[in-house]
Amino acid sequence: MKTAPVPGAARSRPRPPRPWLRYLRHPGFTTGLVVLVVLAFVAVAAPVLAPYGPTEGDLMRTLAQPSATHLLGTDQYGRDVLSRLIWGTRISMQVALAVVVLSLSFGSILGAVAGYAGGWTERLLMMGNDILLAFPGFLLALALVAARGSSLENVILAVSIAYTPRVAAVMRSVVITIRPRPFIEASHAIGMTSFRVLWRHVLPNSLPPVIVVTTVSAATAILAEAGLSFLGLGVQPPTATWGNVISDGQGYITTNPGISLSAGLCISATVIALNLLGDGLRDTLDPQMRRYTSRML
Amino acid sequence: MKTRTNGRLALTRRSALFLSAATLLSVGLGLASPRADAATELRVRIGSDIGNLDPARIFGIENQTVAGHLYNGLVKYDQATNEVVPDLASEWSVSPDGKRWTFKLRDGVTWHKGYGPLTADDVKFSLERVLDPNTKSRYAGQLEGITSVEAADPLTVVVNLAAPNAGLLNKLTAFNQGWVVSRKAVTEIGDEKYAMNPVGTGPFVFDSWTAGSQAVIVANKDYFEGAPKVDSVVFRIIKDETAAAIALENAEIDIFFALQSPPVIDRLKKSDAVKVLSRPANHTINLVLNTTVGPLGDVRVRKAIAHGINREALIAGYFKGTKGTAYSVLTSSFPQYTESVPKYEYDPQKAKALLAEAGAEGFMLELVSVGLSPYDQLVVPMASDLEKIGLKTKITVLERGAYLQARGKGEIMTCITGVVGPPDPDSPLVTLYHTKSFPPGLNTSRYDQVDDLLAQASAELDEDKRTGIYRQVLSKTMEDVPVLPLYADQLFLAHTNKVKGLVQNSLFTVHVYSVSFSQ
Amino acid sequence: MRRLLLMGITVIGMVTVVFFLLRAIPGDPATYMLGDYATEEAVAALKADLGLDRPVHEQYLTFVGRALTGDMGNSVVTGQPAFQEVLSSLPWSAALATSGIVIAVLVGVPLGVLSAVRQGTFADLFVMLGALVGISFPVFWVGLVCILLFAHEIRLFPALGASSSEDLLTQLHHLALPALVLGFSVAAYIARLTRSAMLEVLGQDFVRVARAMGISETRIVYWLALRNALIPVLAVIGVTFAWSLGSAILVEAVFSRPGLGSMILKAVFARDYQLVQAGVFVLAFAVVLVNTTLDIVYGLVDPRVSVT
Repeated sequence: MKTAPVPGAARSRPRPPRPWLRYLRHPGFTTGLVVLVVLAFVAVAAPVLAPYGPTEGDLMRTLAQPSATHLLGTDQYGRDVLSRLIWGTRISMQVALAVVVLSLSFGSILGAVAGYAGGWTERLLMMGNDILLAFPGFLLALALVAARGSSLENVILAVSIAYTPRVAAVMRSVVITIRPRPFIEASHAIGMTSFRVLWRHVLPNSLPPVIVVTTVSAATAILAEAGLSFLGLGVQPPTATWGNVISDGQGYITTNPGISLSAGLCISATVIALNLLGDGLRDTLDPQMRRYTSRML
Repeated sequence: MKTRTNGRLALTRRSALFLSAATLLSVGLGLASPRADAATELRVRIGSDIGNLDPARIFGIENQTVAGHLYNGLVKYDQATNEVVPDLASEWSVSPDGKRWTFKLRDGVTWHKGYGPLTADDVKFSLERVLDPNTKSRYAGQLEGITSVEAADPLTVVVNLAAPNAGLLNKLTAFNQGWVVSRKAVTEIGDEKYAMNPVGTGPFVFDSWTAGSQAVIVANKDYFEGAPKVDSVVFRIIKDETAAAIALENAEIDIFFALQSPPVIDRLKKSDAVKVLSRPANHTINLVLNTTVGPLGDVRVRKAIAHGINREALIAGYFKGTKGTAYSVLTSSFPQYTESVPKYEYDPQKAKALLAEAGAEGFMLELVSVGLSPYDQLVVPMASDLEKIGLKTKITVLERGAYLQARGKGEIMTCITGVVGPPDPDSPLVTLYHTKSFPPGLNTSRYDQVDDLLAQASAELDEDKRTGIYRQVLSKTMEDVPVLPLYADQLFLAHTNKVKGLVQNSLFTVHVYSVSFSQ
Repeated sequence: MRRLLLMGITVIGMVTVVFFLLRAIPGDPATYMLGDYATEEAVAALKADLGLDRPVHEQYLTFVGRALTGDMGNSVVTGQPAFQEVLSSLPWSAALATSGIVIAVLVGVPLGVLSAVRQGTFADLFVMLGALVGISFPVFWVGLVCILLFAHEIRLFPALGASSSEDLLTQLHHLALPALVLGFSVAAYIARLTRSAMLEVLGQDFVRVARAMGISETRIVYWLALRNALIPVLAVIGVTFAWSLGSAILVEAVFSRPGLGSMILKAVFARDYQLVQAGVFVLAFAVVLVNTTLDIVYGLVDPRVSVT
């Protein structure tokens, strides 16, 4: 973890010419990035990397302890735990990516429109948003999956819907901060339409905090998927997902703790990486922006 | 919020330390507390929630376990020997033509919660209620052949049959349709509410139910065979077997019902603090194939599935040998048990050939299971075996309510099921194969080829001939395989050393009337 | 007054969301919800009860009207009023959530302050790494590991999160482990949020002025900064509350503990959707109630915010 820059100084500091270089000097950010790149690689290369198929089981070798042939042992169906974790990376990445894309696009549009339009539009939109925010996100996702049935698509949809209001709230706060800035007024003065201003100036300028939010929603999505799978409401077995591996291993935790423990560590490592990335980005943000993003859960 | 935060709260390092210490202290407080368990409360683990205690509609071992303590039947099975012994009826006789059965009721039996004395009319009401098509009882088929029930006098019940029925007593034992309800209670409470407000004559009275958490029954001090030795029984829902095992070892629960997981069984057997009981069950766990859906109507396809599932590996690998081989749906606990039936060894090549012959390669087979371990787990290796013979598979795991609904409609393609019940061959055979068991009922394979044989068996009073007919039924049904027996169930039950006098039955329920505590 | 009005509007909004939850069920909700032995009449009766046979706007108005009088329909499984069922399992969840949050505040706020004051030191690094781990481990997984460690290996706590005993100490003993698991995961959030709130205040002009005036650093931190950081910290607690209720569902499941979460979960599996609706509503209402209370507390703590 890197310390935040001296807050007083940050406000007036001009944007450095190459922000990415600065990010890379941040140890947390770099660590997070490396882990995520590795995970992305694992997800893409799963068929090559995994020694066995995700649902390929050998009932004659059930609950084997780790060995050379099964590095993390086998589960109660004789499936290779390592292979299931490798294949599970795909689902987790898929869920995280899809949720980020969905909640980010809807959330940003909602938040940006509200923040930019102001007046009654803003009040109404934000009141609706606050109401959704009152529902614990995980609970809302759970209720939606329960109503729609549990499949990969429904899990993604439910988690996205549950977390969109959080993105919208951050986005609006950010836009409100940007709105009164001189360049926006100038754009209006030279006759740009509201939409153009929003599209050309407001959105790009609010990108950094939104990227921070992205990392947080990706982390939340992975945790939510795991939680739903654990409760039996996630992607249905025998599909290999990290949550399913934890839940498969739950019944054998005293004899074969490796099954649940390793899947839990995969989830945590990914979430830590995402948070490190987010923290790294946040540290370099404008302090005011930082405040909005730091309130998000 | 317990902490009052205000502007004056100044945190020094010392006070922060103090606060953390206070937290630990408040948490640690519980540690020092004495275990103040009420000595006569028996805590029993059940794996899933109860939901309906109405004998006409009851289903599931948890419901049956709770209900078993609340109700009596005219007769009952001895827990240990499975012999039919008197329960509410103290004696009974059959007319020479075998069509008229007369039962004398015990005197002085009273219903729980002030519903008055038990009368012959209550028995008449109970049986007629199951038979009434409007009740839609799953067990109506079991009582078929009863033409009328008379309450000759307050303590005499007469059951009239269309034809002699050698197995009648089995149908009237204290289980499912055999449990007697009170006319007054059912009528006053109403059918729907009665499901969770049961009134019986048994050793325990239903006290309360907290959905998703627990059910409590309390001792019936006026029970006709004497008050139970414990004051109350709490059935705690603990889904996960590992958590339940830890709880048992820590004496947080006293009896572990429905112990299934092989590693947990293994572990508890090694523990000094608990005892593990085991007994072969009266049921097999089966894959029911719906013969009215697509390619499953073709016997070659069903045989291909039978050859395609490696059942030996399932028993040896998944169950680690804790279950037995099933040759038909009757287990070795039945006198009619036989191994001379068509058998289906694991042979993927033969399975593929049969599928090719039937022209049914690559069809989508949906494997449906109720969301309970191990059934929802069994489907996983089964699906992977079936994919190896070239089928596509889809696993659907349903909660019990949804599962029953799906079976009730009869359109479900397959399901994993066992007919838990008494050692009466009609119980699994009629339930699984007779056309009168659907709808309503559990013959969701919609098989219709053994009605005649089953009728012959029940009319046959000669025990040997009767056994012969049942064996014919087994051969025929294994030739047609509408239902594929996966394994013969073995029941496991564990309890702490404090629990004395627990007798394990072969019904897959637990009955604690005989239990007492010793310190 | 305005705050109460706002809360009223929020509640109506929440009822609206809950209303649409049921309608998210594909096909016919009534048929979906009723079990095996549902007769045509029963389906029709439930339809009438849910108002599914009437136009949507009419259904909506009736639903809101009934909900505001505390009538969320009856549980399909037990036939009891859904609201009553929810209220009966509420104390279990309230005990878990409250003790979890109390632990979280007692641990998280001091650590967050420490970390902000000692910014850049090893203490800061240590606390922040710990907090990072705390927010990154799935709470149910931590629960499983804790059962393995504290109930199985060292038999310090029971494996079950509740006892049927009436004895308060026994109940507390059973509550301890779930509360700690929930508490520490929430504490991680609170520590992180408190740290950033503190840092922000410490960077403000009045703190710099105070420093320039030569006021001692201890006084600045504990009197000036902490006092001003209290408001954001209170806000943090408000935000965390909703989140911790979501986690509480998982904690209840891991520890086989009764409560709203277990009840909702059971209702989900039993397709008892009226009960799900009531449960979801009550949890969301708790969030609004806590946040409104906190808003009023701000006003008392901070003279700059007026409660009108």
